[in-house]
Amino acid sequence: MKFNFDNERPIYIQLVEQLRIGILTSEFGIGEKIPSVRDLAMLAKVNPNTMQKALAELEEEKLIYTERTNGKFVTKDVKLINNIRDNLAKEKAYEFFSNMKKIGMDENKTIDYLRELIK
Amino acid sequence: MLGKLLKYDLKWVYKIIVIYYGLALVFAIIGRLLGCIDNSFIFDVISKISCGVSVAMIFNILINNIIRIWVRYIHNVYKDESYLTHTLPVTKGEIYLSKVIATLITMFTSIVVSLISFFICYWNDGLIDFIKMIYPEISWGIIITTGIVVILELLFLLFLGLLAITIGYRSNHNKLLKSFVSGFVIYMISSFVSLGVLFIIGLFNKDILDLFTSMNAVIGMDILKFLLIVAATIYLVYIILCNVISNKLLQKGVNVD
Amino acid sequence: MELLECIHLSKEFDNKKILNDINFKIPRGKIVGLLGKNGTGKSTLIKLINDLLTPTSGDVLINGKNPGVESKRIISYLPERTYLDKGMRVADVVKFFEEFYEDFDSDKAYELLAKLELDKDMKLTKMSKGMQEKVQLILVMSRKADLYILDEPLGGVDPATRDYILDTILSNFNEGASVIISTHLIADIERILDEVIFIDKGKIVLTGSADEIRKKEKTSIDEVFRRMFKC
Repeated sequence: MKFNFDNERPIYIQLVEQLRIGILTSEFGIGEKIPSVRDLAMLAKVNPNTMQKALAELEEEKLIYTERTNGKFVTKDVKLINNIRDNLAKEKAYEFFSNMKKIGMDENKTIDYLRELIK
Repeated sequence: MLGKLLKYDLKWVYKIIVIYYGLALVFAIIGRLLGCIDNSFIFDVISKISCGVSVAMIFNILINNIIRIWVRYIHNVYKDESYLTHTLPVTKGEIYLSKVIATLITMFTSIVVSLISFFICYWNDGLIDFIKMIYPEISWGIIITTGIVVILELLFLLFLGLLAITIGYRSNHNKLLKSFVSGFVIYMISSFVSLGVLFIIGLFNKDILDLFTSMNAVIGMDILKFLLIVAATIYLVYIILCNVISNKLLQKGVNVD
Repeated sequence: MELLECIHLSKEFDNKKILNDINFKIPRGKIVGLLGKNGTGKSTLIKLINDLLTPTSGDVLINGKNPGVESKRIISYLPERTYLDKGMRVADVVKFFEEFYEDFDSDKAYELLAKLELDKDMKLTKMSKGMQEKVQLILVMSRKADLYILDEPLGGVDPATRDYILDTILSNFNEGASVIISTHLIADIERILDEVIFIDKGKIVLTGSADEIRKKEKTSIDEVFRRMFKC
């Protein structure tokens, strides 16, 4: 998994976003164990404390859980993952439509355009 | 930890002067051996030159020894290397004590090597006769005491240097210059104090007082012996004072650039 | 007890205040950026913590005690200058560190030296300043210290080495230890910082968590710094 950051926004928020996508794209598969905080921090080249904070956030979302002695695992709850994917898709779609609007294409035009494009 | 500090101090000081040790001894031996060959003008000349080189090396050894002790102190305690020295888990007292012991050890070996080289070159019965001719009353006691006073004076000079550096490098600017100035001032003060002590002794001892009052007082062997012992005592006290003060000042902390 | 605490710390040279009433605490387990332009007192502060200067007033406390043998045992310090005896070979200085610091790991040092392709039999006099600085960084990072203090570790190094240095810092940053990195090259290191201390004209002008500052100012630490000091 590759991480990319800009320094403009809190690093832990960017970590949460990118780890979340990692789970949605099965980079971290359902029910799989994820690397330790240290290893993940080294992989992303960030401070372990920041990584810890990001993982805590994901745990709050129930996307990952901790097994007391074995470490952290991706949730087995497929419904939850799908929910989160839906939410993210919704967000991205709104963003896309609003960008299209900015260049003068309303929703209908955009949909027609997309149909044309994937033919 | 003191042992480890000392090991590195000794290594540094000896690094160059052991070469001079070797040269002084080798040239002394060559000089002596060639001098033993009779009736050869060329060997005689080479022998004299070799002995001359050996003596030059003796000066080299003593001067280098003194300078390297001072330079080591400045570099190790006040210049770039001080960043490492003062962040080692050792006390300032250990750092200073290591320098003092290194001084004593290296000066001891330097003097021994110098004496051995000198004796190899010049020792023969004629030399003793020559000395006896000039000073009929001379004894081994006097010679050894004189030697001890000279060594103590050298050591005093060395530790005075360390004290001067410790004082000079406490300030923020012109540290080296201030070291020189304080060294000079302390030396002058010590000379006056020595004279003062001698004068006070003179108040109780007519022979000594004569040294101050009469222009052409003759120094007898007894007075000479007495003077040498006084000098040795004074130097010993100075040496101890220098080290106590340097150590106290260093304990107060450093201000490196 | 805090790992490091400065209380009303001031330092004067020739009646000029270089540091003026510095107060801060550094707990365990943090990477802290000491940020400021050149000549604002960063190095002076670091030297005070390392017993290379004596404070004019105030206190430096490491585990509740003034700098001394105990603090030197647990602080691993990288100064901004080369401080090794240049007559030594790399292997000699490794041995030197091993002899004096109980927490020094020479296997690790040799491993790092090999990684950076530094010859252990080379004399320091034969090395460029950059190479010597790398050797020093390796020595400092090969200790298992409680507090690492790195004074301008990124000054004048190429980007590849800079990444390597950051990696080394991160991978050696053990739990319970803290790292103080002083620098004016903020963009390069701000990603790994937990907290920042901004210092200007001998005073602390801003402290806080790096992410909190980004959240609040909606921009990078580097940008906050630039705006604050208009450079």
